[in-house]
Amino acid sequence: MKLNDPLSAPLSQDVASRLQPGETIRFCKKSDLSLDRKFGEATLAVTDTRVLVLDTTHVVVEVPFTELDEVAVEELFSSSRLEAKKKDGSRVELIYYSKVLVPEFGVFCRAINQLVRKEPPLLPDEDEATHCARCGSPLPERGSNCPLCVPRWTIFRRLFQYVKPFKVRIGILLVTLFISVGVQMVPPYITKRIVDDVIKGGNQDSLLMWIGLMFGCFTIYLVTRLFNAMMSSWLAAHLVANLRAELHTVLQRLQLGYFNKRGSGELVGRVMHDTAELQQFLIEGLPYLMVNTSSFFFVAVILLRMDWRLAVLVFLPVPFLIFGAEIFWKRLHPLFHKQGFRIESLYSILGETINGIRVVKAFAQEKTRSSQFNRRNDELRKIRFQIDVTFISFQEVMFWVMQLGIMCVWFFAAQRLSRHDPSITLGTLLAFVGYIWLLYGPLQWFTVVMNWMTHAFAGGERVFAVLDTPPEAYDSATAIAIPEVKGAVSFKDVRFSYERGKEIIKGISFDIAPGEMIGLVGKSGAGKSTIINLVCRFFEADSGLISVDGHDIKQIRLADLRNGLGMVLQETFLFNGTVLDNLKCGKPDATFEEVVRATKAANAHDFILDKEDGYDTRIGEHGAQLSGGEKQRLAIARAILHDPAILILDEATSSVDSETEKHIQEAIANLVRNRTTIAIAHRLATLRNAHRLVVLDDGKIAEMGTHDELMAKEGAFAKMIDTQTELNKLRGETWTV
Amino acid sequence: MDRVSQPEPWIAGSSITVRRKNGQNMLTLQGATEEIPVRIVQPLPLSQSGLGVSFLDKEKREVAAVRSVSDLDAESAACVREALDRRYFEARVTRVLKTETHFGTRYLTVDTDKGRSTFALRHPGRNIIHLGNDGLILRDTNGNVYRIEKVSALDALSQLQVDKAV
Repeated sequence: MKLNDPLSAPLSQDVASRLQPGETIRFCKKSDLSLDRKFGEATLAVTDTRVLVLDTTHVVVEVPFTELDEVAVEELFSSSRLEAKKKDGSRVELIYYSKVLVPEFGVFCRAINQLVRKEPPLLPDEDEATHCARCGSPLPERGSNCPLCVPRWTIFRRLFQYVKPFKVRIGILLVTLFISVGVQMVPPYITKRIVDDVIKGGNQDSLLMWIGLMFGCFTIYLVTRLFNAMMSSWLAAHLVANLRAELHTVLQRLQLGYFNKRGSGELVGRVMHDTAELQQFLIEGLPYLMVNTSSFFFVAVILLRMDWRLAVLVFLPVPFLIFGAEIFWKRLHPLFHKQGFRIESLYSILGETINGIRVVKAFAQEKTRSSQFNRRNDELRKIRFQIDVTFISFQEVMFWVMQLGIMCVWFFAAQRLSRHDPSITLGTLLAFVGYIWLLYGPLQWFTVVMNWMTHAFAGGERVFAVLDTPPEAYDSATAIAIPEVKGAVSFKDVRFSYERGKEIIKGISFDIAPGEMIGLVGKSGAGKSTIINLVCRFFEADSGLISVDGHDIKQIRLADLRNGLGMVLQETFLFNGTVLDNLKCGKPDATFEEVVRATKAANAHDFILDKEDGYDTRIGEHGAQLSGGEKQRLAIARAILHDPAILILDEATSSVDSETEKHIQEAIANLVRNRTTIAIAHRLATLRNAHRLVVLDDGKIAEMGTHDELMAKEGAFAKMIDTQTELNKLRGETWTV
Repeated sequence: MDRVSQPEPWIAGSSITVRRKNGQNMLTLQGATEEIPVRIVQPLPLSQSGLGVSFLDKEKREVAAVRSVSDLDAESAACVREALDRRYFEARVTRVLKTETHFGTRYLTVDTDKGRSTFALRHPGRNIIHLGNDGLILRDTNGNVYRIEKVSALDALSQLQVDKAV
């Protein structure tokens, strides 16, 4: 990570004059807020012995390490600051920075504290950009592509890779496209010949031939257009289906952190909406562009060859059409965004009302909700009206401009015809008018289609951004195969942060022997679930070592590691299928006998049989047809069937009644036997079977030992037990731990 | 008729004093001698930043709350205002110079009371908050907050830009 921003000349001089012989600047980072908390600049520099705060010209604060207890991040509203906590108990504000620089200063803060403690500072290698290197604009997300600099043609080239397998069909499509363009050029010419040869020249014999030719052209045009439409639809559907399938596969292989940063709506949007937009453009927009670009050049050449003076008149409105479309798009573009935003918020209200209908009714909120909906609905109506008016106005104004061109052609051509100018005939004039429509018609939508292409490619860019995201290391060539995990787990000085600068696990070490049950205890946010995420390698530790059976988990083949793990979580996730499908998801080749053994051990067999369709019962989305306790027992049965060496239990008995909890506890007792188990529970009674308890506080181990040892210690754990006993008394429950 | 006795949200301003000592804000409750180091926060920083001031101890528990800074004695009020000013970095937009929308990301260049800034904004449903009285809160992709007190009080060009982007 870049923590060595260069100092300006005056600052360098000032700092240099203060350094002791042999003292060097270790790190230096510029903030984006000045010391008086305005958008501006201030710098924090750390030498071997002290922290220096600099404004734009000189050092303003100096804190020697000898006086420093630690440096801490103070999260503020819309900004943060680093504070020096001195040994005498006083505090010194060091530097303010906006939320943009939270990761950098978080790492900086940890590095200073490590230097103060005379430890080697830990600095992550990667440095994700906050601003576009090309245009300097802020990036919507660290390290993401800049939307302002989307390489349109690169995306086009990548899309082309997907249609390569269909190159024969594409070749046929292109040929038929050009045939359709070619035959479109003929009818105006036939008009000229009919007027000049048949009507004025009196050559009646050729009329049938011309009409026949015209009919032929129209028929070929019809056939080629139908063929083009079918072919481009086929190609687009195949391309997008392939893209969607690849996207779905890739999404499942991405690291969990990727999903934490994005809502499911956004990802579903990428898989469905962005690909659909791309498909629509490929079906309608791309053929439009290809046909009309070639048609434009064909017509231009024909017009120039027929009569260059009239052709110049025809071209006069072209700039107006192009610029008009550009202005039109600029007006329409934000309106489309507004419309999207308003539709989204309308959906949101509608969804909330439907999902929360019981609360709406119970609190008599019908009128309030209706008025909220009506307000948003009204806003959407206004925007829709603006869009329609803009569209219609554009269409009509452009039509008027085109008519001006036609008017000019008629005016000058008619003058020349009335003067019996031999270089022009009535047929030429009528053919000209015919060609003008072929030229102007597509031109007015050209810019719009180009912008449409930009949008579709933006969707493509978002799709490719997902495809290009590095997946978890499934297929590392150097990974160690462990076909059978034994269950020894070890953490050695492990540090981890979900976001750089906000450390969640702060140097944790412990060992778990195979078959041992460990209970993780601590307040919300202490780091219990994070430890589980690290064991499962959903995230990778920033530093330190996590090993399973003596191997660094980064070196173990991921499939082997995950096969050796089983989970029963607080929020049981079940797929929308039958009970049997869900049970077998951890072991697809399990026999029915194996399944029944697992469900009996999990106290689930009886309630399954009680269902009308038994094991064939469809459980609905998220297991909607089952109670909380039933879902838990299915999850336990699933884990028993999966038979992992290491079992994760995360609050498996929360939110159930006492009777159900008894069933679940019995099931868990069956499940944990002879397995390494890491269990989390807020209700400490559920950990009574644990061999050891690890008490976490603010990302560190506060205490570790057996239940009796910790109670005797009268520390954090004993305090938690007391609190819970009090709480249970209030609830009228009795727990023994 | 009150069915449940509910504690009052505020205490009288005169019942506490706040002083800044050694870089920390220290609160003393009336009649007590102990000084408690506190963090001073606002319960409604976005929608009603003037309503309420809470004092949290190091365990993040509220030890006192007053309805308004002005309820406090002059020295305490000055101390609290200073602390709030340091905690709540909120750029008040005075002019909107430029807005652009690209692929769902809105880019705004604005002049504020804290200087000029260019920022990106996404997910308008979440990050554009319409306040009463024509006010707007914009939260950029990093979580920084920009406040437009009153859109109609901005110059015509700025209003046009706001209309385009928001």
